[in-house]
Amino acid sequence: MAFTEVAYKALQDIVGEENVSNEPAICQAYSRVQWLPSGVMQRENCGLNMRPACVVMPGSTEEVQNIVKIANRYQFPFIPRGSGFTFQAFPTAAGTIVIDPKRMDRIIELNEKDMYAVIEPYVSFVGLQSEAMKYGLYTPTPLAGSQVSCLANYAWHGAYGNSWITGVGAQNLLGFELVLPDGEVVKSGSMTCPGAGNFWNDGPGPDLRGFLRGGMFGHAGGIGVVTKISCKLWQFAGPEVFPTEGNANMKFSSGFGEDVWRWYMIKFPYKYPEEEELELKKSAELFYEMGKAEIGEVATHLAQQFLYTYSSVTKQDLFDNIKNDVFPSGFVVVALQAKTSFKQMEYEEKVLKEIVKKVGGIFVEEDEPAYQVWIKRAANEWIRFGNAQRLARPSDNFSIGSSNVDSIDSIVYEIIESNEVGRDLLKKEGLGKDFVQPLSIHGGWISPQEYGYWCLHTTDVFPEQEPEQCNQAIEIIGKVAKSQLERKSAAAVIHLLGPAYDIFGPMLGNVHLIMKDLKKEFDPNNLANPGYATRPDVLSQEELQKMMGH
Amino acid sequence: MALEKIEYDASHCQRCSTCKWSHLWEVKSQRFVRNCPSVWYGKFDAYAAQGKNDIVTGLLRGELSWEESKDALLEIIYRCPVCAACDISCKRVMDLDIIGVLDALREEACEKGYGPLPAHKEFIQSIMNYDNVWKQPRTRRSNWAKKLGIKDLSKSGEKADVLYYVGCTYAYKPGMETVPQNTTDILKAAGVDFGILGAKEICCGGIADNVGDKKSFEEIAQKNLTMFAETGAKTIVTNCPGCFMTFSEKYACMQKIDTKDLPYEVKHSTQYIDELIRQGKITFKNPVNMQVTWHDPCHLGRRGEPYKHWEGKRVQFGLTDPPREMNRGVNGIYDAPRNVLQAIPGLKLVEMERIKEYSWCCGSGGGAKSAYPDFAIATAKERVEEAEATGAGTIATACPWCEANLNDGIDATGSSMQVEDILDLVKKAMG
Amino acid sequence: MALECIVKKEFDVREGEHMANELSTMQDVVSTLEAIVDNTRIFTDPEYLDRYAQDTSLCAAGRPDAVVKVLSTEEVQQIVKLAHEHHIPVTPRSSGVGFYGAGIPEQGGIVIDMSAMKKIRRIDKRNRWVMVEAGVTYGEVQAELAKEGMRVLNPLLAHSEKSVITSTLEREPKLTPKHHLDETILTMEMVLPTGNIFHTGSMAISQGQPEKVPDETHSDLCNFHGPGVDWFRLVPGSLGTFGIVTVMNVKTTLIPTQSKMVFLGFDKLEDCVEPFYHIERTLIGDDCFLLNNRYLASILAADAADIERISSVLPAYTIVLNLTAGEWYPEDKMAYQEEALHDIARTFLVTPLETLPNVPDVAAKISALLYQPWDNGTYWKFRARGASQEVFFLTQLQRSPEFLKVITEVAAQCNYPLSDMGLYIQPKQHGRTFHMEAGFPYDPEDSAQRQRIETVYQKVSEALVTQGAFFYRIYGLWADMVYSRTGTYHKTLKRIKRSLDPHSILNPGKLGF
Repeated sequence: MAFTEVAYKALQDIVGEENVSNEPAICQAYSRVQWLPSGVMQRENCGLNMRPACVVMPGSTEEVQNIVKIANRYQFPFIPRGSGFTFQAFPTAAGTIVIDPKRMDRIIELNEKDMYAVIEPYVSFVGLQSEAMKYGLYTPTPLAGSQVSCLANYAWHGAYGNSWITGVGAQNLLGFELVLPDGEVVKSGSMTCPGAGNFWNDGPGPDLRGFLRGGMFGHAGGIGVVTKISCKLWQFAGPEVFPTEGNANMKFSSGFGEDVWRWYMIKFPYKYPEEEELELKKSAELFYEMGKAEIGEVATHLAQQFLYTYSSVTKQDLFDNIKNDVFPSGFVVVALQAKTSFKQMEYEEKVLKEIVKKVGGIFVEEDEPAYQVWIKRAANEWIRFGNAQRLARPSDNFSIGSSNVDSIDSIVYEIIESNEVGRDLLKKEGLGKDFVQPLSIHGGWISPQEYGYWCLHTTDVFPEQEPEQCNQAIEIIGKVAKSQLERKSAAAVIHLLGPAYDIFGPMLGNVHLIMKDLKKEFDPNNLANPGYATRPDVLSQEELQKMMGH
Repeated sequence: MALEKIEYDASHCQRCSTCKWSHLWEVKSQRFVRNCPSVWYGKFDAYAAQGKNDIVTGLLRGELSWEESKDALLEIIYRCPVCAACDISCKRVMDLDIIGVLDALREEACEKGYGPLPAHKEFIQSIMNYDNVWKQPRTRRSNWAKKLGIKDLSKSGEKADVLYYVGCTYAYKPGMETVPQNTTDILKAAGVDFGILGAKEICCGGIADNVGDKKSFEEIAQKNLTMFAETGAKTIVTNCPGCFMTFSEKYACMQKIDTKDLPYEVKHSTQYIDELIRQGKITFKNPVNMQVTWHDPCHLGRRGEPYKHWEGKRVQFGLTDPPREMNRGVNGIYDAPRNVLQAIPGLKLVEMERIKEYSWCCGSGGGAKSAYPDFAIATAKERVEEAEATGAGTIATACPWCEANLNDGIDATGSSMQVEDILDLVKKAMG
Repeated sequence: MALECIVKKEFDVREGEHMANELSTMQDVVSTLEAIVDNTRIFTDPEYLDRYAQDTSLCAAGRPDAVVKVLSTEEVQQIVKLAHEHHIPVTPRSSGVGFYGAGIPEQGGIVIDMSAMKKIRRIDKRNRWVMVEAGVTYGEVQAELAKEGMRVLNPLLAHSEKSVITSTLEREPKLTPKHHLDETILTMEMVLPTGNIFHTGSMAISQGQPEKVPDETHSDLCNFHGPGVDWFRLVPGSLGTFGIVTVMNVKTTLIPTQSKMVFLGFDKLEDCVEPFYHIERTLIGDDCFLLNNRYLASILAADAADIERISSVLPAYTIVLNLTAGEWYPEDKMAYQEEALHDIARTFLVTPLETLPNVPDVAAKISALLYQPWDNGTYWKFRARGASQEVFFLTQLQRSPEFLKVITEVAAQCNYPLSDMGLYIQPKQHGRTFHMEAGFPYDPEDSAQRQRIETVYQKVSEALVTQGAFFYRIYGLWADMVYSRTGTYHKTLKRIKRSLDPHSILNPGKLGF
């Protein structure tokens, strides 16, 4: 069966005529992923199939539940989404519908004492953060930008500017309410127990967050539609309203107050990029020491591509800064927050200075361009804004080149190796020769998590939005991933989605078979985002080859 | 044709959705976190700049055709006040001409013969027939000025330093005549040498351009440009932000020149009065003991920025050749009206959460009020609620369209809020 | 239930399904097990089996048909494979002690006893973790880690036979309520119900020996997410029903260079709430918890006879806070923490004490106990009366007085002597939630007391669940009590269970499976 008029009528009955549309013009706005090379190619390959058969906007969990039941009755695929920034929220086959959560945008509860909020899918980070700040709390600062759905980001793949404290999406998710692919509603954590409240995550019994998410990714809506979550809020000593000055786009600056929040930039005395390896390894030392001392609110190594893009006011400004070598290398960025007291921050500053000295680092001085551009302009903005798609500013398109999760040491190793593979491809095969340099295949974002107990990284490439360049980017990403597997990095463990399960599963204890059994149990008809979640059946070699070919 | 000009901008949208939220830097609450009336009201992504980018890309690539979805397309395109909040939010991250995309869609609709909408055509026809948008006889245009003894610069030989351009709505709309009358009193009290065009004043034509009818717009604009040249006035003062923006930005754009290269300088009355206050030419006698919040009219604020003409192309990495200086909400008229209000003794200015370049639109612009009154009123209601949250009893503004629509919003909410034109407040204070 | 019956019953239920029929007698099973492990480690003697039939909880006994003491993951794997093929119940045990009935083989079958798997496989000081086998106890691991200046976080005075893996998987609250140390599991080697060995997190990159993964690959076993689902969350709390964890690496912390115990005494629980919240909100101290006088006395008393006296001189409720500092400028760190504590104390009109009145050396005593298992004879919770039944749950601290009222009212209605009752409140994640535990000591030899405690246990639990206490760990009668109220949660768990363990061989009967 496919999506039919009868099904459409049923959806109208559920949400009201005004909240569902199959108008081509309306649906067209849900048919494009343009910001990743893979998205560009997907669009090239799928064309009109990426336009959903209809878009439906439920206003409640009950409506979501009924939509999912109708999908099961008439056997059409559905894709749940948040704000729609991710690449997996778009149809890949005709007859798919998209569930847009815009009508579900309430902050249901914000609990100051117990530091959590309960939100619906269309609450953005910025909305939640602005409310939390009124109570001396804040949210993680999403690299995807604070315009994205907080719920989707936590259920999917959030990474944050202040991960040093907060960890990633998985660590910030408390309880959830989920409409399973067959339309049953399940809640988790304390919210499942009548009268218990929404404050906690694990149980009763096994923690179903383990089922909702997997690896660094979730299941791309493959196990249903999350309709509500409770999530953590974190101590914030800054002002109740995010402080701003000047024009929002051009002359911005902001201070939380030196008495509550201080930024530092740290560099190492090495020639870049020739001695990138030493710079990264020293950064790792710094993080290990800071982790042992349990100091800091933010601790991360920002590669050039992050520094240039995130601090850019305009595209021209970005290229001017590159030309002027404002950020001659990657830098470690640290923030201290007076969460206990001013004395605690002063103590941490004293320790930080000792540690930096011990590892041979140098504090960037206030009169250096890097300090002026990053700390004076961009750093606090990073707390509010995450900077979102500024990462695409260099070429109006970008892609993660490699990404891993493991120890800080392993991450540094992976950055060095991944860049090496990338540079080799450039040298020998000319792959990426037209990408923005030196931002592509250089440097890496080291993001130690939770006081450095673990760490993630990305390297990025900046092709233009041309199929040829995008294909090159995809080839580079594929070859880097292959090299990671060959040298037994931990990379493959984290990024499993769709056919990747079939490809990598056999190398990972046949995890694909486990996941397919779960998929069969919960979504035997493969209706929940079939383009991205793993399928219930095991793909044949022929099918895999065919998919890889695309 | 119109769409091709902005193909790069539309197709390089990252779909990050920054365009749908109030400027992230400036968000102060979940309640007022939205910026785009169009997608706030219409909800589907198509109503946001992101969706319109997708639609343009779809139309250009043949994935979408006008024929299969004409009515929906027209609603998507025109149920939007073209307030540019999306454009300003987007500029935070990217360098795409989002306003260009919205304008191009309207132009395309007109080129196809589907636009503008009947309600818009009425306005344009009225301009063609009567030189004003309100289907009023030309002779009544200067009724407000009777017995005020203002120079009529349309008469040969009359000259003045300043051409005070009144605009259709202030000239004709019953109850709004106090604004030009007060303006006259203020300018006179300050000793300004000014004149008006009397019954010869014609509509600025901004509405035609707003809805994509470039042909009609150009015809009207040419008439005005000729008249301005004939008066020899170097300074034009307007009350209506629509006229202000049309003369300063749209006429420059039409002539492919920068605003600064126009043969005249356009000033909004708040700018002009702010200068007069600072020069000591206006003094206030009476305290105005009110708590007031200022509503930034879009055409005065982020859309009131001077036009910087650019002709060129996107080159490697999307850079522009020659380099293009885009409007980013920096040079709108935000401070002048605030300065004026703050100069009034007794008056306390309290700000709403969404102001200046990230202000929430009243919902009236871009032909939205005439074609989609329910949408316009809903948008105004939202603004009224935001104003109420400040604790102020009065919304001050300086736009006849905003004023009328906000009043409709007040009626719809049953709010006790008052809307006052800033010039009426100035006059009260001057006594 | 005899193994023969189970095999037969399963066979009947699944009529037509192919099943090897050679294991239709107990002897067949034992013979097959003998091919897997040395027969000296297979036990079928009824008296021996009785040791596994019961623990210290009130849960009904269930005698296994065989106990196998395993020494390796491979042995576990082969036994589970066998069990999977023949639908034989398997109950994993890694601790020599059980408080909650989790390891009682309700449906008989095979108990896999992993308590002899004692290897500490690897210590990674740089990345701050230790890899242990299932049978390693806190005492064993702390002794080894201390040599490196490290320790694992442990629950309050763990039983000396409690294994690190059991405690971690049971999610026993730890004394240090830090955000980043709330979930300590990094990677795991586990045997799935199908008998396959599965590695979680970044250990999945290799199928080799867990401790060799860092040498053979470029992983330091620090990524705990995935693959597939997040096993580090799904498996804990499942009481061995989803898989048997044989090896795990967990986060460790560094042993402080300085520490100072501070006590805040209160007459009423209500008065503890605000200062306790503030201590957590300002992130001071490492170990922090609250005990009532009875529980604190049970720890401090030199012998059981002294508990009552000590209890009578202690404040009704005491917050115990251990301020610590590490390598860098420890004096400065201690100073700012003390100052912050005194600010809180001033605000709430309490006095932080370095000792407690009438109890000599209390700080030193508690300090010495915190990172060791209980080694002073009878387990501290049992000292007063010989046994104790706990009721515990999670709550927001602000609701703790409300729940205490429920507990005391119901217990009093059951004629339980309230002066005997212990209370323990443990913050987690700097006060996002608090583990609240009431302990009801009783004399297990006294059938009237035992009967009364069963009533107390049931009625207090029931009243708490009704009031909205969140029972996050599910044992015994709590399964029905809680899951009957939680909509489809249990059904969803059952569906996951069915998918992972289609023959329901792992610890059947637990969690209502």
